[in-house]
Formats: sequence, C-alpha cells, structure tokens
Amino acid sequence: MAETRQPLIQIEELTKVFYTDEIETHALSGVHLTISKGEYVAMSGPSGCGKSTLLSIIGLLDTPTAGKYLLNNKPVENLDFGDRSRLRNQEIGFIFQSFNLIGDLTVYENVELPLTYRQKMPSADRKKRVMESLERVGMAHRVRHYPSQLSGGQQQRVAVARALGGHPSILLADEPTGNLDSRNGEAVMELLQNLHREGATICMVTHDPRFAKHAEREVHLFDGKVVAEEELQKLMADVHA
Amino acid sequence: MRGLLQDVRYALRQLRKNPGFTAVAVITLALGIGANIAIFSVIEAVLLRPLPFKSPDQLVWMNGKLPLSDEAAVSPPDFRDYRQDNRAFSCLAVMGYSAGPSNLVGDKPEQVLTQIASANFFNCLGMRPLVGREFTLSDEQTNLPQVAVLGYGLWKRDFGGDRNVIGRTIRIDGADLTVVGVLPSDLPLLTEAQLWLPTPMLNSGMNVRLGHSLKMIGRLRSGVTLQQSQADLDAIALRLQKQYPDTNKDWFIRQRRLREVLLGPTRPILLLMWGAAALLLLIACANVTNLLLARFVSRQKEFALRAALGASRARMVREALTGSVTLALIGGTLGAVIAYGTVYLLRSFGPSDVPRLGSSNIDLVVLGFNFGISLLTGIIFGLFPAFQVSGSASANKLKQAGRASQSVGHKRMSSALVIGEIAISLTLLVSAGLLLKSFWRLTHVSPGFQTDHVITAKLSLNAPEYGPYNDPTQRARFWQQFEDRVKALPGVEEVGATSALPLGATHYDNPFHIPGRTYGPSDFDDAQFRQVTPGYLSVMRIPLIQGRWIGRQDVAVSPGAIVVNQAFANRFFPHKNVLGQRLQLMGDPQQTREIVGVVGNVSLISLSEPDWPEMYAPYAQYAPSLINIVVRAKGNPINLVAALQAQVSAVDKTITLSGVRSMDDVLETSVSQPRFSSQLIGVFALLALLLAAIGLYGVVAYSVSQRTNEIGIRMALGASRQDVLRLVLRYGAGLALIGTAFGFGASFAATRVLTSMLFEVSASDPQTFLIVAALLMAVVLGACYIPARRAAKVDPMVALRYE
Repeated sequence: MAETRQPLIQIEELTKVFYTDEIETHALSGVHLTISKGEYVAMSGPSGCGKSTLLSIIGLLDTPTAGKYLLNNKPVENLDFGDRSRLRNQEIGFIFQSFNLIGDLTVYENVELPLTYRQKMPSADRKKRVMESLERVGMAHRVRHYPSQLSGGQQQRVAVARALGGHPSILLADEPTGNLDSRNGEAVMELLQNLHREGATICMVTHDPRFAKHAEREVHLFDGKVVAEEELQKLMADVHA
Repeated sequence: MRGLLQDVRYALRQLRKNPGFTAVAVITLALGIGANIAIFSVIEAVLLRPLPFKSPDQLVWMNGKLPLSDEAAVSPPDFRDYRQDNRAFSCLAVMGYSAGPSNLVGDKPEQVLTQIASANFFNCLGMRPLVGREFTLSDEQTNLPQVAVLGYGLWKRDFGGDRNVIGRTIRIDGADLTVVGVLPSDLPLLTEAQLWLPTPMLNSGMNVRLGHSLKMIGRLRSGVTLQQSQADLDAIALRLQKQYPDTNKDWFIRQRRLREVLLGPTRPILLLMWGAAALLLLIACANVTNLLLARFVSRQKEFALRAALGASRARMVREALTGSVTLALIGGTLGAVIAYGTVYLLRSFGPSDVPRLGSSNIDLVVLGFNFGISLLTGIIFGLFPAFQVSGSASANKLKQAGRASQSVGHKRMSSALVIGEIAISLTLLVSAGLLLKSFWRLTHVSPGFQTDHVITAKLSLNAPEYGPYNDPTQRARFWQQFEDRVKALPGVEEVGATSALPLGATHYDNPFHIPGRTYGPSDFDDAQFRQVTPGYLSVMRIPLIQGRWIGRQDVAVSPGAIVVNQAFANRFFPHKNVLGQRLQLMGDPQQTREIVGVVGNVSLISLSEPDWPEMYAPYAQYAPSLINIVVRAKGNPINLVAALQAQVSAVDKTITLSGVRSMDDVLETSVSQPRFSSQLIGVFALLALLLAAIGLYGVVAYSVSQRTNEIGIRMALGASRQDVLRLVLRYGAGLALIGTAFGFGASFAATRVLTSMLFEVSASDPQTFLIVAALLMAVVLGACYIPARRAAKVDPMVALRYE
C-alpha cells in the first residue's frame, strides 16, 4: 500500500554537523529517508543517535549542513528563516514531549495560536478549526481552562489539537508520551493511531518499543545514520559488549 | 550587631559578584539621590538657612498700598510720621529705593554703589557695626550727607581692613564725608550697596509726601503679632489720610515678613525643582526595585534553603534589606559626588537673581540629609522584594531544579512599577515641555528694540561741581561733551543715554495730569518715565511711529517736549491725535510738556510684562544725575569699553563708568530665571525618561528571558521573527500606553502649579502633551526594541531545549 502513496518527505544524503569551540559533532551523516503521505513512521534509536536532530530538520526548525530535503516535492533545505516559519506553520504540526502549551493562554487560545500566524485567516474560520480540532481530541469542553488546570494527558491532547488545527501535511511527535504515565501514554498513542486511520501522516520519535509498534514503519538511527533493525541490534550488542 | 555586620559583608560580596547589576543599580540611585542632594543644598542655602539678621522672624517689610499699586515705596515725611507714632515696632527704618553708583575718589577714581539709610537702620536689622557707629538721628539733620558707613567688602578692598579708618575723610561725588562706621558684612540679600550714607532729611527732596522713594523695614516688639502691628499701621495711615488728603488719599501700609519678601519669589521654582528631583528619585527607586525583584527571583532557591535551615522570615527580610540599604548607601555616596559637581554648576551658571545661590554647598546638614535619604531609599526599594522573597521561600522551591520563575505577584509589581515610572516621566516631561515652550515663546517676544552691537554702562554725575541737586544744565553740558567725544571714536555708530534701561527697570510712581481733565485730590495718572538723549532712539532702533523724536533743539530753555509710546497713546488718548497734547508732570521743572512724537513699545520690566505706557523727556531739559549710556558699535561693542572710559576721564577724571554690559547680556539676564527653571527641569525630565526607558528595558528584557521557551514554542508553531518582535513590542507598548494614560492624568493635575510660571502657554497645552507623549512612546518603544530584537533572534531549537 505504501508503494502507491505519494512521497511527502524525501531526504537524501542529509548531514548535520554541530560546531562547538573547535569540536565538530556529526549529528547526522548521510541520512536517506522518505515518508509518504498518510504514512505513520516511528523513529527510534539510542540517546544521541540524532533522532531529535532529524525531527527538527524535518520540522524546519533547523537546517541541514548538507544534503537534500524535499517537502511535497519542493526543496526546503536552503529556505530562509521567514520562509521556513511560514512553511512550518502551514505544513507541519508539532507534538512535544513536554506538551509546550503556553501557560498564560487558555486551551482555546493555545490551539488557535498557530492559526493567528496565518495572515489572511478570518476569525470565524479560526474558531471553526479550533473547535473541530478540540472535538477530535475530546477536549472541546475545556476551552476556557488554562493548561495548569489540566492533567498531563489532557495537556497532550490539547497539544495534539493545536498540531491538527493548521491542517498540516505531517504531524511530528517528539517522544509524545515521555512525560505521561502509561495509561495516559496509551491514550495519546490511541489518539495518534485514530488520526492516522483518518489519513494523517505522522512521524514520531520514541525510544519506547511498545509505542513504536503502533507505527506502520519503524526507522532506526544509530550514530547519525539510518540503519536496518538487524544492523541496529548488532551495533547495540557491540556497544554493550 | 555581629549578625548585622555579617549581613553587610554578605551584601557586599553579593554586589561584587554581580558587577553589572551593582553598576546599574548604583548609577541609577546615584542619579536620583544626587539630584535630590543638589537641589536640597540649594534649598538649604536659599530658603532654610536663617536670614543673617538677629531674630529675623521679628523683621517685617513694608510697602505702600495705593489704588494703582501694592508695591509702592514710602515717602520720607510719611516714614518720619510712622517712626514717631507707631507702638507695635521696637524700631522702624528706611533705606533708599536702590543702590546707585557714586564716584569715590581715592588713589584712583572708581564707582561704588551707594545707598542711603535712616538712623538706626542697621541696629533695626540686628547688626552692630564692626568698627565705629551707625547713623544717628543727628546725622539725618542735614541737607546733604556728611558722614558715611563703609560696607565690609569696600572696607577690606579699598581700606585694607584698617580699623583706624573711622574719622577719615572720603570724597564721594565731589563731597567730603567722614567715615563713622564699618559694617560687619555686606547685605547681599537686601542690596548691592558698598557704601552707606544717611538720609538727609533736611533736603527739600526729603519733604515731598508724594515722593515715594524709600523702602521701610521694622522690627516687631516682642509678643506683637502681624495683625496687631497692621492695626497700628492702619491707624496711622487713617490719621495721615485725614491730615494730608491731597497726598495720602487711600494710602495704607501693607506688611510682610522680611523672609517672605526676600526669599518668597524663589520659593515656588525651588520647590518645583525639588518636586522634580523627588520624582526622579522615585523612578530610580522603582527601577532598582525591579532589578532587585528580578535578582531575588534568581535567589529563590537560596532563600528556600535558608528557610529550610531554620531562618525566620524576619531574619531573611533583614538580610534582604541590609543588601538594599548597602546598595543605597553606595549610591548615596556616588550621589554626593554628583551633587557636588551639580551644585558647582548651579552656583556658576544659575541665575544671579536667586539670593544666596552662591553660598549653596555640600555641608554637614546636606550630608546628613544625604545619609537620611539614602537610608530611606534603601528601605523603600528593598522592602517589597524583601517581603516577596522571604514570603515565597518554601521547600517547594528547593525541589525546582534551579529553574527560577516569576510569580504573578512579581509580574504585576514589575509592571506596576514601570507604569508608574512612565507616568512620572511623562509628568516631568510635560512640565519641562511646557516650561521650554514658555521659554521659547518668551525669547521670541520682540523687546521692541535691537540689542545687538549695543553696549551700556552706568554713569553717575552726583558730584556737587555738576550741580547734582540744583543745576541739571551742567549735567547736560557734561553729556554733550562726552557724547561728542564718543561719536568721534572709530567703531562707534551712535551714542545715547537713558535714565533707566529697558528689561529690568523698576516701577516708579510718575504722577502726571493731563491739562483740561478733572482730577480729585491726590488723583493722578501714572506712566513710566525716562529721560533720554537724542541718540537713544537710533542706538536702540526703536521705531518712530508718529511725529518727531527728541532732538538737539530740545534744550533747557526751549519749550517742554515729550515723546510717548504707543501704549501711552492708546491708553490716555484713545481715538485721538496724541500729537500736540500736553502733560503736566509732578516735580517737572517745565510747567507742561507737549507730546511731539509717538514711538514703539519696549519691554521695560521683562519680556513677559505687558506694554506699559511710557514717556520720554529730553535729558537736556530734565537731566537726572544717574544715566545709562548706550553705544551702538560697528563691530563687537565690548571692544569699546576702554575707549569709553577714556572719554569719560577726558571730560572729568573723577568720573568713572560702571556696570558695563552688552545689551545682549541684559536681554539674556532678563530671561535667566525661566531659562534656569526650564533647563533644570528639562535635565530632570530627560534623566527621568532615561531611567524609565532603562526600567522598561529591564522589565521587557527580563520578561523575554522568562519567556524564551514560550517564544521557541511560538516559533515552532510558525511565528515569524516579525511576529515575535510584535509580541514583545506589544507587551512593552501596552505598559507604556497604560503609563502614558496615567501620566496624562498626573500631568493635568501637576502642571496646575506651573501656571504662574508659564508665558503664553496653557498648563494643559495639548500640543505639548501630545508631542511629549509621542517622544516618550518613541523612546520607551526604542528601549523595548532591543530585547524584542533579541527575542526575535531566539533560535527555536535552543528555546525549546531551554525548558
């Protein structure tokens, strides 16, 4: 089924090098990755393998040092900050480990926030989208609440609603269950699965194999490279040896 | 005590550890405290220091009250009646209206400022002569002064402080006088006189009841109130009204405390400055409070630890307060240094007509004030943060992994402080704006003449050989010779003279009648009066509107001529041809004078005064002994000083010039007080604006640092740099707008006190309010822009990791 899907994200020979003082750190080294529309991909790997860096580059929060990145068949690796912001706002929905809701804003305002950065969106449309999103995650009854008045699971649901509100091409979830207990973690994973069933493209970073199993496909990273699962296990065994 | 010392040591260590915070806080406090100390030192010297007289509260100043004036001088015969008949005063005494130059002939001739004084004048003030005696009643019983009392300065300068000067003869204006006493000090508050002569009560000029020429002082008897003394003076006035209805109709004496008369006029402006300085200190306190709040937020964990280790709340408040007071005392010390420099500048460049300004300095009283205000400042700005931090210290804070956060209370307090700062700054800026606009308007008033290239000097022809009391023709002759010589000097365009210069002239009674009109007893018209030479008009470039100006043909034996100004013509001859009308001046050697011309109005007293009716009589027909020469030069008029003095000496070697100034300087001096007040409050307002901008910058910058994670989230969600910039600017602008709104209200209320100091500007001038508000908004938004730009440059990756 994946073969018939259109590619949404195409990454080739992607490299990311961090320079600290005179030390070069190769966070990503020649990564190849394609994510198709409607696909649910889980990215896993040990700490420091480059998962979050790759997710940041996919999410246009960061730029690669070298390599190609096509989003919806358009090259985005060399966009300036403003264009990346605009594209991020329209094409990408983020779900963070620590929810990252803004404490001074209500649930409604938090979900509305990315839509306010769209220049020509009437407030009636914004309201419709916000309410739709909140209803999808089951949080429409909490619009006037502040994040501090919600449980962790509820906060993450609101964060998912915020990510959905902009009708993004892809949802990027960075350890979305990392700050949740197992019950709430399962609930969020179920929510993501439901969204996927409804057609959403999802790329999730996780180090928990239980949650990685929810995805259609699992991408393993090790030392900044995409590796096959068998190769990863061998490498991991070498490390532990 | 040991604990306190430990707290101080710890506070000093904390300040050393945070040099950036310490520098900003100390400089901010130093500016606020320094401004207050400087203004306080001036107020202490000018207003608070006792008058240099014995029991000064018993001294009162008396003015004649006439239907036309509350400030009339007293005539010699009236004074003698009051002196004799009053019961309320232990003494009454008079001095001449002002000090005038006289020619003192010593080793070399010089002009000294002399003034007449009645018997017992100095004793009445509570002064005992340093050497010799003062004037007695017998010294008054002469036609011309026979004795003199030397002022302290003149005695030291010209007589080397010789105590044997008593009995020596000095030659003043050609008359020999015997020195009978030396004063222990000059009387700068009362007069600039250097030499004193007794009132010659037998002189005919001293027996004119309408000749209001003396200033009267009195010392209240012990236990007598102002109401009682006023009743006593009123009873005498009523008797004189009955006895002399032709001269004393409606005549009364109005009395005020001497302190109020001498220091009263400067009180409002100095109190205004003090108010401005106090507001500046408030802004400084608000700034430092905000800094401390931010710093204490970062020390929450430390205080929580202290609480966990058993520190009581009082102990923590004490420690926090010790830190703030230590900071304030360091700021106060630097403030004293700033104040020292400021006071030096105020002494050097302040207006000359603020009494005792020159004696202001940083003395023990001022240093005591400094210590007190520093202590108070430290407590004021330290109290809230101290209670906040000690109150919020709890075990929970210990659990927070070093992540400091601002509570809602902190945020509100910080915002309120900045709003307050902006409101106060706006008030000061509006006040400064109004005063500056008023000053601008004042300096753009045409004085009615041209001051450029004109030099002026005083010339006294009091010498008996020129007939000071009985032969004005000799004075006219002297002038003619002098004028001819000066005209011949290279570089001189025109020369003239007047009995009183415009700008700074004093009101005198110049009663006159218009023949053909009906007047009641003691009724008369009044206008300002000048004796002038033919060259005066062209030197001063005063426009001739109608008829002719005074010419060389107007000599003593020719028909009396007089020129009036436009205000005179409008007031006394409205809708009539004023030329050819006649005036009868009291005390004029001419029976009547014909109005031969009309000239433009000039500012006589000051630029802000309305145009007064004025009369110009030919010097040759009515020559006073004291004149002001005016010379228009082709180049720099100051270059003519030596040549002018040489020409005076060439005519008479015993005569000298004094008070040499350019007319530009005269004009400048006339606006020195409004310039002083507008400039000083302008400096305070700019400092306030600077501090408010720093305050807002601090709060916004701190807010940005607290919101780094939020900014990262917003960017992750698609906010552009402009969105973030707008977000931060909107926060700053919101505070600024609220502050401006409060500031408008405060300004409307505060500027009411400025009304009396403003010239042709309303205290609620909308233009000034709007311009100042726009300036304030621009500056504070500029201050917000720096942290806003920093926020816009936040890397969302870094910001998201910031959590």
